[in-house]
Amino acid sequence: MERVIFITTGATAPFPELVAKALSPECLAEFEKEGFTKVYLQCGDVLAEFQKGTYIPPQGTCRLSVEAFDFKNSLHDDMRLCQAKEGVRKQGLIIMHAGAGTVMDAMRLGLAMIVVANPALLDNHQDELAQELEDQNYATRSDVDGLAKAIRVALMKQSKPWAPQHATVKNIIDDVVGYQADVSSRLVLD
Amino acid sequence: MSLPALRLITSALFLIITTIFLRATYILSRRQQKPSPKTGPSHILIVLGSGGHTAEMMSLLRDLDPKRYFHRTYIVSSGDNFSQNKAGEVERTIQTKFRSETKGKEKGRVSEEGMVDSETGIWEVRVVPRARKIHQPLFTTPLSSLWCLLNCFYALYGSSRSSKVAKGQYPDVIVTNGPATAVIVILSAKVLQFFGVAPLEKLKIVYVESWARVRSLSLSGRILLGWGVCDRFLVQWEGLARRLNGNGTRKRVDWEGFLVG
Repeated sequence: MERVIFITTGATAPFPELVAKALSPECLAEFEKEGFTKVYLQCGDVLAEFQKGTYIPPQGTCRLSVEAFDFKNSLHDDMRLCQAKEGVRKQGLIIMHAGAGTVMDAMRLGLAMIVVANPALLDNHQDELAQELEDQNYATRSDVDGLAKAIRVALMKQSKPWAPQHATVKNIIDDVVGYQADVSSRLVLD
Repeated sequence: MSLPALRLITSALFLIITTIFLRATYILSRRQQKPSPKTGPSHILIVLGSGGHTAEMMSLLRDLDPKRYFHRTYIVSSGDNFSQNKAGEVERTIQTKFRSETKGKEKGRVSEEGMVDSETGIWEVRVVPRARKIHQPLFTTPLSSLWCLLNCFYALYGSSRSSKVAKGQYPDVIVTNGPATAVIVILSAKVLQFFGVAPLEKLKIVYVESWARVRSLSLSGRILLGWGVCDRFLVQWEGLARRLNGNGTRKRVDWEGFLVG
């Protein structure tokens, strides 16, 4: 059965360190051991370097298939490759930069996640997000060096799913503007 | 300087300061009051920012009732890539959700900008110049901010003139999630209220800090919270709310879980 690892570095800043680390012999061995079959990369401008063969493991050392692309408008369909599908593929893993949009999308799909803050984006608060996600058990946080270990940790862990949201801004705006909570209609809806 | 002139200046200053003080006290006392119950349609003003902010706003407003918020004005800043189209995308989310139960020809229909629809009302986009362009030298920022402020006055005034809820009435509420432009829009709204151009019960402020802000506020958030101008100030992470509220009895920010869905 197929098992996909999806690596995404986002659209804002290149993150070649993460690509290099994920395709290092250390991490590839980890992927193989965990039964992954495919490494799928969204790597932005780093793709040129990838196509030159810089990051591709030497022939014969790796049974995983490796495929990369630079950008896409939406990663939604690609992310879904990490969801388990009866008889087709097992639950995969996503390794990503800590961009809020990407993280949110992955959380909504309930993926097993490793979040790596890009040190090049120091004042982007990516690391704060990564830290909080780990503290609240939504994801596994890692730095580039510790990725191999984080893979083991992330696959063992049962992450908290994105809870259905009850609070919405709509109610808050209604309250501020002065609309009374519409009890009758809510009762009917429930 | 002659004595009469000095006297004149002193008394003028005294009058001005007293007036400002009394006006500010009055405005602050009015803020404690609950809004009078509303049943009719409203005018909402939404300040959009760059890509990430707008994507989040789309999610925040996903279940806004377009029938209730019959007039929706979007403020975008010029030069924000595609922000103008983004307003259309936010609209598509709102209107598609609203019509999700309807069938047939009406399903999936999204009204055009500036056109009044009997069901989903009207939406419009107003563009203001950026307060500070990327890589703009710091010393010209006050000038460009002032230019932005003047345009914000004009945008607010324009949105009141074009109001389809009540002609000449200012928007009931401003909603934003923290782009830099929002601070200037809110400043202009408050100046209009201070001088009595816009009534105090209009132009309420709802600020939602971005989901990406986990442990600290954005610059816009810090400015607006410090100023204390928001009627509701929401953060989306409990830890951040706890940090900002401390042990004090007075709640500075609200937390109600993730507001993005």
